[in-house]
Amino acid sequence: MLRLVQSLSRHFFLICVCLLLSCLHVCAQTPLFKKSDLKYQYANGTVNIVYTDMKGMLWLGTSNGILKTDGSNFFEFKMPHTISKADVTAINAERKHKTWFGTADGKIGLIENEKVTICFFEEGCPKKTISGVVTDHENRNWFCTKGEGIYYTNNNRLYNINTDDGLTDNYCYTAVCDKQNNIWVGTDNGITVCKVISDKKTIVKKFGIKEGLPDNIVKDIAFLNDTILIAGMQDKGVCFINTKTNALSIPDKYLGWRYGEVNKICVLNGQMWYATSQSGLVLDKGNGNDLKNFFSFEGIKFDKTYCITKDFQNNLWIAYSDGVLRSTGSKLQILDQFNGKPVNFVHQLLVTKNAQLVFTPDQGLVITPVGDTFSGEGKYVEVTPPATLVDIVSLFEDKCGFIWIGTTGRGLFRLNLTTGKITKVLLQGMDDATILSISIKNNFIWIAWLGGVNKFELPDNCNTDEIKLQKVEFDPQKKAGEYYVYTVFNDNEQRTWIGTDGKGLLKIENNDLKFLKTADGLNNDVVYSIAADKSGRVWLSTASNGLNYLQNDSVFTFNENNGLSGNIFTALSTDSKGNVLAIGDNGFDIICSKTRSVINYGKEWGLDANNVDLNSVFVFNDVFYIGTEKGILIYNALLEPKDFTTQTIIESIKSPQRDIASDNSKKLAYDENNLTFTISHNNLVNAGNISFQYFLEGYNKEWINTRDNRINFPSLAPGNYVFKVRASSNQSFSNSKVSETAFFIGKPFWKETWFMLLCSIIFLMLISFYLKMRDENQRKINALKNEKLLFQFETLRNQVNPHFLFNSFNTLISIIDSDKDAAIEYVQKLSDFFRDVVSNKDKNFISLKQELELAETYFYLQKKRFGKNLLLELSIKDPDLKKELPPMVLQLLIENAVKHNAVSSETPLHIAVKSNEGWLQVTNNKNEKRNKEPSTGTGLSNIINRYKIQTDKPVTINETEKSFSVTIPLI
Amino acid sequence: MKMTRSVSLLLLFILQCLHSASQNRNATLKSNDGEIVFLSDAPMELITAKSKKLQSVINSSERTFAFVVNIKSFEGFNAALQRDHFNENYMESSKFPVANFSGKIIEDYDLSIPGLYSVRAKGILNIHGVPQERIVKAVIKVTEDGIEIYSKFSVMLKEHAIKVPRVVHEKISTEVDVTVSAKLK
Repeated sequence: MLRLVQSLSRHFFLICVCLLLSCLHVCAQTPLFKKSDLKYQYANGTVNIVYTDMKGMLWLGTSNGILKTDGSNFFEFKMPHTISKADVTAINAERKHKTWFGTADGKIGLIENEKVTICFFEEGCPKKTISGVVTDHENRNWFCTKGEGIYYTNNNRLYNINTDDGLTDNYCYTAVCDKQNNIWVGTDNGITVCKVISDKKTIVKKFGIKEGLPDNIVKDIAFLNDTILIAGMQDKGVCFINTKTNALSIPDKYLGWRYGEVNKICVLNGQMWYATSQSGLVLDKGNGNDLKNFFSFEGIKFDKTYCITKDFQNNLWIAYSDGVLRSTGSKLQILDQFNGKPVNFVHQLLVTKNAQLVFTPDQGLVITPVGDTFSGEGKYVEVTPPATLVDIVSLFEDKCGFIWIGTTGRGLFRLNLTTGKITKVLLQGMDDATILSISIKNNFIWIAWLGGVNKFELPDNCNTDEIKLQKVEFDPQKKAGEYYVYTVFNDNEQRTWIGTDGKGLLKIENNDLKFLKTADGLNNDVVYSIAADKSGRVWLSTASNGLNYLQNDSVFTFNENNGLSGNIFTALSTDSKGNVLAIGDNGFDIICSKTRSVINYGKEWGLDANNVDLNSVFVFNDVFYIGTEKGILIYNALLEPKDFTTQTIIESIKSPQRDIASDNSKKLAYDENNLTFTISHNNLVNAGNISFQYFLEGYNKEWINTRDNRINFPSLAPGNYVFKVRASSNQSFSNSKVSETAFFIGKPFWKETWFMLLCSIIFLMLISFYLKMRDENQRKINALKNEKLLFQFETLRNQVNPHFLFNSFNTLISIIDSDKDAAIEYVQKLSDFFRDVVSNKDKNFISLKQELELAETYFYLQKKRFGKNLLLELSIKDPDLKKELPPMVLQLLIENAVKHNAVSSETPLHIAVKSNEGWLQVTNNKNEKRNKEPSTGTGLSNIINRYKIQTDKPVTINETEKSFSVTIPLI
Repeated sequence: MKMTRSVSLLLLFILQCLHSASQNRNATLKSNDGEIVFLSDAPMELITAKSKKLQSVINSSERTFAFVVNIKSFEGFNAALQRDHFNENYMESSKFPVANFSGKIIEDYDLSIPGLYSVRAKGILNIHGVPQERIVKAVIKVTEDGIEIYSKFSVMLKEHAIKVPRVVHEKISTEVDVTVSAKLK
C-alpha cells in the first residue's frame, strides 16, 4: 500500500512535470519598467530621441522641441524666433556645453551655453530630415540626412557627401565614429564607411548584400567594443561586423529574427538592447543565452519603441509611442509569472547549491532551475498529502541536498529534491509547532519556533528521508531565559547569532552566550534580521533607526542619515563583494561595500508598498532573490555603476551682467563679482536623495551642505577662486568625486599696481612742481628785495650824491642873495624832496600822482639851477594818475636826462612826460655832454630789473640820434 | 483620300510631339552674358569689379550646372593699375585665365515647372587654379522664357592660394563677396 502511494506520488510528480514543461515561454523574468512623468514638459508631442550626454544628463528630442533634465529639474531650450517649432530628430553633444541637434525639416541647431542658434551656415541648411549627428576625433561634426546624404563641417565650411561622391544611398539613418576616425553611415543601401583625410573626403569601404549584409536597410549602428560593431536592420534583425577584418557574422540566435525593424541599439554592461518598431525591446545577454523580448509591463504597452539609451546609473531610458519609459534593465528584474500563474506572496525562497530556486507562492512550493533564464521547467510539490493549505515560513538546505521546510502550525518537514518526497521530521513536542527560522551549520541545526530556540545535532548520514535529531543543550546555565526568536544566523567564523524580540542580539561563540542590547549600542532590542559581509562585519536590522553593524566588537549605526530610505528593515543579505541589501517598507536599499553610497529601489520603481516577510531574501552567485507580494525580485548589484557614485556637473556661472563661459580659465572684472552657480547631478532616478556640498576656495572656510541647485555669492573680493562641488546620496561625501572650476576676479583699475604707481608718480611730480614754484617765488622775492636794496642804495648814494648837493647848494647860493623868499622856498622844496625820498624809499609802488609830485619837486630844484633851458612838459591823462609805478623811477629818468645831456641856452633840454593807456613815456632830446658826470650806469638797468621782477610788461628804451625815450609800464 | 490626310496629319502631330518632348528632355539652358560682381571691403579701401561675360549652362532635368568667367573680363576697379595688379599679381590670369564653378543642385526640384526655388548648389569652385568643393545658396526663378539664377557667396582668398602682401593687407579684404546674376535660355 505504501509502495503504491510512493509510486503514485512519484508518478504524480512526473505528471506534473510533463504538464508543466509545455508552459515554457510564459515564465520569463522581466526588468522593471516605469513610465516617466516627463510628459507635461514637452506638451504631448512625441519623443523621438532620448540621449545621454557626457555628464549623464538626459536630453529629449521631441516633436515640440528639445529638453534637458537631471531627473528633477528641467531645462527647455527656447528656439529663436526664426523658426516656429522644432521637431527634433537627432541630438549629439560635441563637448561639454556644446550640443548639436537636427530637426525633421533639415534644420541644424547648436546649443552653446544654453543659447540656441539655428542654421547659421553660409551654405544653408539641408531640406531633408536630419537623422543623426556625430562628432569625429578631429572635431568635425557630421549630419546624416534622409535624402541628401551626409554633411560634415570642416574649417567652418559645410560639405556634403552623397551618391555622386560614392555614398551608397542618399537616404541615411545613422552615423557613428570609430576609433580610427572612420564614419560608419547606415543607409537604405547598406553601410558606407567614409573619412576626411587631409581635408579630402574619402569613401573607405562599403558593406552591402555582397559583403554578407542580410538586409540593405541599416537603421542603427552601435559599438559592442573597440573592434566589433553591431548593425541593426529593418528586416533581418542584427549582424556583427569586425571593423578590423571586415568580417560579418550573425550568431545563430539571430537567425530567423522575428522582431521586426530595429530602430536603436544600446549596449549596457556588455549586454545588447534593441529598440524595435513593432515588438518592443529585445535583449541579448550574450554568453549563449537566448534573446529575450519585452513589450509590456503592468499594463504599459511599449511595442512601438523609437529610441533607447542608458544613463550613468545603468538604467535604461526608452522613447516609445506614449512618451518616455525608464527601466532597470538586467540589474533588477521581477519574476511575476510562473506557468501562466502570477507569482504572488512569496513568503520564502532559497536557491540550492545545484541552482534550483525553491519558492513558496501562495502556500505552494515550486522548484525550478535557476539560470539566466527561468525556463519554466519546474515542479509543483505538495507539502502534505492531501493538498491542504499550509503556510511555509522557513526554508533551509542541508549538506545532503535536502530542503528543510518549516510551517505554521504543522511542524517541520524535509523535502528530497531528487525524488520530490516530503517527510515529516519528528521532534518531541513540536509536531504542530510554527517553525520561524532554520539554520544549519556543520552538523548542527538551530530551530527557532514560537516556544524559543533549540539546537539539535544532525546524524552524519543525512541522505535518508527519515531522520532523527538529537537535541543539544546550548544554554546549560539558562542564562538566556525565555524569549521569542526572529532569526538564527550562523556566520563563517563559527559564531551563532540569534535575533530576539526584546532581548537584543544573542551571540554564541565557543559555547559562550552574550547578549548585546541598546545599552551596548544597538538601535533597538528587537532584532529582525542578521547578515555578515565579506570583511566579517555583522549587520543587523532592528525595529527602529535603521541598521547596526558590528565591527571589532564595536556597534555602529547606519540609518536614514547615511542615505537609507527608511528606518525599519526586515531582511538583510550580502553578496560576495560585500554589498549589503536591506529590505524595508520603502522597497529595498543596496549599500556599496566600498563607498557606503546607497541606492534605493522604492517608489520610483513601484516597490514601496511592499509587504515583505521576514528573511524572504536569498543570495546566489551574487544575485539577490527577494520574495515580494508581486513576485520575486532578481537583483544583481554588480551591474550597478562602479562605487555607486553620482557625479556633479557645474552647469553654468552667471552674473547679472552676463553669462560666463563655463570652460577655460575665466578672468572677470572687479564688478562682475555677483556670481550664481547652477549645479546638477546625474542621478536621474533617485534625484530626491541627492544633496550637494560646495566649497569656494578663497571664500568659504569649509564645505557647505545644500540641496539647492543654485548657489549665489553676492559680492566677492578680487582674487583667485576655485569653486568645488560634490554630491552624495547618503550625505557622506568622503567618496564623492569633486567637480571644480577656477576663475579670477580682477581688481578695479584704481587698485591696480600700474594705476597706483602712476598716481604716486603724478603726486611726486605735483609736489616737486609745488616746491619749485615756491622756490621760484622765493627767488623772485629775493631778487626783488635785492633790487630794492640796490635801488635804495643807489638812491641813498644819490641822496648823498655830492654833485647833487653841490649843485643844489650852488643854486641856493645864487638865489639867496637875490631873492630871499625864493631861497626859502628853494630850501623848503629841497627838504620836501628829501622828505619824500625818505618816506617813499621802502615802498614797492606808489601812485603816479605821488610820483609826479616828487618829480615836480625835483624838477623845481633843477629848474632853479638851469632856468628856462630846462623844460618839462607833462601830459598825463587823469585815469592814469591812479596807476602805480615803483617810487623814484620818474625822478631817476629826469635825473638821467639831466645827467647825460648838456643843458644850455644853445641846447635846451626838453623833457616830455606822457601817459598813454598804462604806459608812461619819458622823452628828451639828446644833447651829448662833452664831460659826462660820473655815473655808475646802473640806474636805468636797476629800473628795468625791478620792473622785470614785478611784471611781464617790459621797459622799453627808444634811442634815436636826436631823442631818447624810455617807456615804462604803469601798473 | 480623307483617310490619308487625317493619317498624315496625325503623323505630323505625333512627330511634333516627339520633337518637343525630346527638346524638353534635353533641357539645357545657356547664357553668355551673365553678371558677376566681386567686392572687397577692407578698412582702407573698397574695391569692386564686375564682369558681364559670365557664361553659364544648366541642365534642368539633371540639375547640373557650370559657370565660367574670364578673369580678364572684370572691369570697374578703382584704377587701371589696380586692374593690372589684379590680373598679373593676384589672379595671375595669364596662368589661370578662367574661374569656374560646376556641379549639381542638391534639392530635387523639377526645374521645368515655373516657380521660385531656393536651392543649394554643390560643386567645385576653381579660382586661381585651386579647386575647392563648395555648397552655394542660390535662388532660381523658372519662367516661360528660361531660368534666372541669383546667388551671393563669399570666397576666402587663402582657400584659392591668392596671396595678399602684408603691405596692402589693410586695402584688400581676406574674404571677398561675390554676387552672380544670370538669365539662361
